[in-house]
Amino acid sequence: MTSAVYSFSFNEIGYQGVPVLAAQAISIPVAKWTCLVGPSGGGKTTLLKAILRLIPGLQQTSFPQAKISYMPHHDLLLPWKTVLENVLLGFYLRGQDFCQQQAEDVLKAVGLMAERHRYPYQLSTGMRQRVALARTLLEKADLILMDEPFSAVDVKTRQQLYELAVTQLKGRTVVFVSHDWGDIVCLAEHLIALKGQPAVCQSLHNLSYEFAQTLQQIKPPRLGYQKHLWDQTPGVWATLYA
Amino acid sequence: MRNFYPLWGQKIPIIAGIVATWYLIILVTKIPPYILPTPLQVVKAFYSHYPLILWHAALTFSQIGFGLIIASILGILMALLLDRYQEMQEWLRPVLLILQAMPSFILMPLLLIWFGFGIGPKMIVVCLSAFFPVTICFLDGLKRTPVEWQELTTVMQGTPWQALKMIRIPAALPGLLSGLRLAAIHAPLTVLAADWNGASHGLGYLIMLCHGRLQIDLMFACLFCTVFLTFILTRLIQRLEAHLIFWPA
Repeated sequence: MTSAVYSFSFNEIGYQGVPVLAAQAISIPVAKWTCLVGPSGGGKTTLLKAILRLIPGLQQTSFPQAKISYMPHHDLLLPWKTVLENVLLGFYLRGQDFCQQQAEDVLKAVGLMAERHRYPYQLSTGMRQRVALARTLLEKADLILMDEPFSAVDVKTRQQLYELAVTQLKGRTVVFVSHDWGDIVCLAEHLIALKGQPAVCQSLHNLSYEFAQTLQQIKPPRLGYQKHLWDQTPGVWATLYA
Repeated sequence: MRNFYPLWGQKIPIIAGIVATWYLIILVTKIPPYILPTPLQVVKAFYSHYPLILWHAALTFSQIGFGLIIASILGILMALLLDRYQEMQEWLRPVLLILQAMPSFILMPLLLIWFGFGIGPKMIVVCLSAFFPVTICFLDGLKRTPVEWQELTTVMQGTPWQALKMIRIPAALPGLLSGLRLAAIHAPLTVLAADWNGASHGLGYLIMLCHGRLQIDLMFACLFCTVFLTFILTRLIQRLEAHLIFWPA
């Protein structure tokens, strides 16, 4: 299964009459973290929404039965439900039986067991993001799409959240959008870049120098911080500038 | 106590100011008491007739209360129905508009013939006037479910009924409450107007009776009672809102 991919093919997708994504096929490696990069307004969210079938355009997929879950940048917690109920939202919405023990296990994993009967407005932004993460985890999806999932919190909290996500989602198929150079380098095992208008996806293997520069423009790396990353993840950097 | 009446510090000087101005007007213009009684005379009139006033006030209040409750139930059901069957909206919109455009208290004499002298006819009048704002505001709230939550429902493969129960109705509660608030402001006026179109009880009836018999002091006592009633109603709805919408917006 390690070399398996989820493949999707799309028709051209437009937004208000302007073509955003060209007709194309993309493949996402199973059990890896794939980062989706590209300039703002470049069709990253559009691509995710097409995969989720929230907008039309998905033509064919190799895994039509795959369960997909979505984690947008806003936590989307229901203010009138407790933390525990919010985590179980998917089960409530499907009218499905659920095992409360599982929900509590997930809450323990994100360190919010003590807060389970509180309401979202009583929590900090970082805690709310952790609840959203717990909700995503409990869905046990085959494919997890995260659209700048932790962009609403400060750098330190975001790092903690990503660490948590990485441990909890180890070996799962994740596609995430990020603008943060550090996040991309630390987390991505595979990169898909969107380029042009309408955008075309390119996997990082055949990344050109020009392309790496586009990537760099998203967020220019800061020196000391990047040096550390360079030492930590030489492999990714080598691929980037190959 | 301080939490319950946080505005007493502002209310007392304002009430005192109004009473003082009232006295001043009477002192300066020397209006006779059968045209404008003094505040003290009004208080006296209330004190000597309070069982009568309170009895009529209680009737009026229960008519407004029950009318609003029934209108809310019907309005909520109607909004849910219109939300479920969107195509019905085009058909029923004119009917709702007619209901709203028609001054319902004009029907009072007819309703009296149909339903007799009870609290029924006036309840119906309140109901007719409150039904429209409740329905429209709640329906509007249901239509405005945030897109992100709708997307979340789709992704989680939620059923429409569960989504309505878990997300859309709670999200529409502020709309429902503003509809109810609108209805509650109109209700006392509607009931009073209905009283003037033929009734055998109620504050409006009593006001007209006092007016006819030149008991202006008693009429003012009834008027203040009506104002007080509206205050209570607004207060009750505020409590309901605080209870239902407990999360900060």
